[in-house]
Amino acid sequence: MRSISDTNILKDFCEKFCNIVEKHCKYIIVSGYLVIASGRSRGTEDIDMILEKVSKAKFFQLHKELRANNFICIQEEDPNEIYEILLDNTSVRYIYNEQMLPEMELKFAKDILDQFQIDSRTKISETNVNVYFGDLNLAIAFKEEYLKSDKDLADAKHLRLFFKEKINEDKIKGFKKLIQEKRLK
Amino acid sequence: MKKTFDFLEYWVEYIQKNPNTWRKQHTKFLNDQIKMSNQALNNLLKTKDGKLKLIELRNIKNKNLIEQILKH
Repeated sequence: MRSISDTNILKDFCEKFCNIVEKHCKYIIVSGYLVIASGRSRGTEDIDMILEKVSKAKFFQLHKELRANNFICIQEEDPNEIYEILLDNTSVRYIYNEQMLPEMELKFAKDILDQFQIDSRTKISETNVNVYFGDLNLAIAFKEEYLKSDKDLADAKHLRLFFKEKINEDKIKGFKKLIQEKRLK
Repeated sequence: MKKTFDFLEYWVEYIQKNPNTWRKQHTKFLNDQIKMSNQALNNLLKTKDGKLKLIELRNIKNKNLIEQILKH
């Protein structure tokens, strides 16, 4: 039997949230939590999720089920308003009701890079977290080419070391070119 | 950055050499950080104007959530 000390707060929160989302639309977990779930020893309080752009009706169903499972959106209660925020390419944050952290920060896919990640999403057994993640090589490219903070460069380095056998330099190079075209021009 | 990168190399090597123990240590590290942050926010609630500070700090706009915090 699993003891309480074996429970990983971020993993449980992430899996519960993702299990609900998966019933309604495709999603991916990206950025910091991919790195942390892969063993990087740094803290985080939020998990970043990209959702495929869904209709308002579909989003209402998703929000309804999240609320029924004790998740609450920090910015708004009204799903109409939350949907509008998402359409504006701004993220919204959900937490467990009556517990401020951790939080899930979600946004709609906004371009070909986001959509590619959703289309090619995958579960990564090494993380021991049963959710869909974005592309590993694209995560490295984003951190090295677009985000570039010391934290992001260290995240990229960790992914390169941890997933040595899965890293594809040609793919990373191609993604960096695409990032230049789609996000940095 | 060199020190950070050196540590990353050490840590990934540690993970590879200790596949049965590293995850437990990692989980404790992550859990403690979340617990400490939640505890700090709960402590803030008990201070003067702490509820309003929390609402501002977390950029909370959901009226139901604000009401819930103010009633706390």
